[in-house]
Amino acid sequence: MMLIVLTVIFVLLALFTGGDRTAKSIVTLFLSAGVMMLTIVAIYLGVPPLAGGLFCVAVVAVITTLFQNECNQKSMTALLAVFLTTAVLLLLIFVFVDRGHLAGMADTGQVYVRESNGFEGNIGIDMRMVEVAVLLITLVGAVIDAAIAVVAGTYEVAAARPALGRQALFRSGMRIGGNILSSTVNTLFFIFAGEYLLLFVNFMTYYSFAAMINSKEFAQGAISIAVSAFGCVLVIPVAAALAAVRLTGGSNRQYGNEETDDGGERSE
Amino acid sequence: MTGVAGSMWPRDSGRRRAIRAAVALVCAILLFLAVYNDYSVYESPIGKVTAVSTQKIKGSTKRQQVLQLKIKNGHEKGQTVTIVQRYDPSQVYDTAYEKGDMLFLNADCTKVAGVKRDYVVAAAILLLLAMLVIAGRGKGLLSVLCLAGNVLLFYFLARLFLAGHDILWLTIGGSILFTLLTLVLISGFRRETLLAFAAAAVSAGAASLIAFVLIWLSKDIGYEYLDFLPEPYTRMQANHFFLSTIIISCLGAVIDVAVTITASASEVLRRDPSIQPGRLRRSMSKVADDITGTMINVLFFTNMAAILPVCMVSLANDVRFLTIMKYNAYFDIARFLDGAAAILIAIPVSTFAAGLFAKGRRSK
Repeated sequence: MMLIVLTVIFVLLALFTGGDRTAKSIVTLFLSAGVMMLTIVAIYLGVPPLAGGLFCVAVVAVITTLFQNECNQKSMTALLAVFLTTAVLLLLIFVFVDRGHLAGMADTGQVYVRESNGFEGNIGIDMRMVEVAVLLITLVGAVIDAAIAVVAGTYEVAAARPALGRQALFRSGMRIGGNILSSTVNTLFFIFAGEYLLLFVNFMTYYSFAAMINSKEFAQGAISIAVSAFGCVLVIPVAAALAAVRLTGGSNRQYGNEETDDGGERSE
Repeated sequence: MTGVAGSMWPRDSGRRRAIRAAVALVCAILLFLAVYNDYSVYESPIGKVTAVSTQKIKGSTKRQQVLQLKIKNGHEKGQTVTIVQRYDPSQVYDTAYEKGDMLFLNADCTKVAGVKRDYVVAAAILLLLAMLVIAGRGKGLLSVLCLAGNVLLFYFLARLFLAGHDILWLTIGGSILFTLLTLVLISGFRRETLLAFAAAAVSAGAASLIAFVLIWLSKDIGYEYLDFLPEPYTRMQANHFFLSTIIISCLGAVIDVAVTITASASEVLRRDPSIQPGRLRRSMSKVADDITGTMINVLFFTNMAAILPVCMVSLANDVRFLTIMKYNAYFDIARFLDGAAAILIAIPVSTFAAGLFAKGRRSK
């Protein structure tokens, strides 16, 4: 079956083309996938969907940063940035799901899971909270990615120039974040386009642009990607600030670099 | 050791940034208000909910709502209407309306036809765009332009599809344009952009080829589970659609990798123009190794999170978990796996391209 072949190809490619870090991240991926499956089953068995979603995001964040990138100060800082940003995003997500009535299955387009196919609707699970969980889980990958990139980059800058102060470090972090932001946002757009291409085509064929814009299906997708991208934008200053504070708080010898050089070894 | 660097920026820049932020916010708010109040654009009557009362129904899990709505457009503008509707608290198919909601009504204004959501979508998108412009500095604006350009391109291709062209060829042609547009806007008109493009094209192409072969070799693909597939369809049309979604997904993953590696390569070359191609390749391999993991993570969660609702409803209707993965989630999983394969292929391809770049520079 196609999926099995693809999985085998995927694993083989990982072993051949990637290095140690890639191999570690494949393990992390399987672990994260497992956590997500666990979350799904837990919510079905009665765990409140919101708690399930938050649990999934928290565990995945911890696994990804700590397992893949070692348990050190950098990872903890990135993790904190992710948690803070997610807390803020949670409020935003509530507002969108509530006002946009994004809960539940599609009501305009042709989907497999619908009432006329025998899928009854009184399932006893609050689909609004499920949708909140969906939005949370969608953004977790991208936000972790951005946070780690900014924190790691800022630490690199600090290692090369130990004399830099908090403000300068923060600015460096912001600049690093700005560089990755474009490509991250575009990646998210492409993934969204791939996922919703058919929806787009379907609506354009059978309905209208106006119907699509107001449909639940389109709103679910567009808002989930917009919130993910917004999360990336938000986590950059948070991660940069936290890294800058961490690096300059207490003594300046975070790196055990005893030489107080002028930090100007590398000429710009 | 506080901010020795202090204010590194000239004062203008700060003021310019504040002005840009203010302009962005004002534009966003104005556009949002415009969409919120665009009742006259729509033909169907739109009612704004002014009061809601909810009651339980005896002998059923469903609840009943009595809604008071004020009509906002059309002949009956200004009138008040009362509508009764029922919903299940799970809200799988139904909706519990609230005060302040804007609802599309049927022609007689006796039933609710849908929810007006355009302003919510607009709010999310405008919020993102405004933040990009404010927080991203110059690059933020570029991101916005890039997104806008891609959206326009996408729309243009959709029109071509409606005119009867085949989706697969449109996707392949469109992908080349998407990639060029994005790369040029991110990296500018430089040699490395061309290299990044080549690397991205080859990687995405290889992964798509794998998908192509597998799709054609598969005896049976459960296309009835592929939501929004335009019906009626032939097996070949469905194959084309499936492959198109995979190609676009692969591109997204691969562009990021290609850009990162070629940018890093050019940065290293800038510092050390005489570096050996082999050494550069090894260095880039390490860079790629670093980013691959997180890229694959992004791909996984962005693609897979959406199956949650489907899982809930299916599990509650006695569908086995494995069945859901094999059929309902089949297409999402395939998209993810092929995209991840594309990223992994992009590692050697991009490092090879970086090596070529170094050789090219040295021979100058």
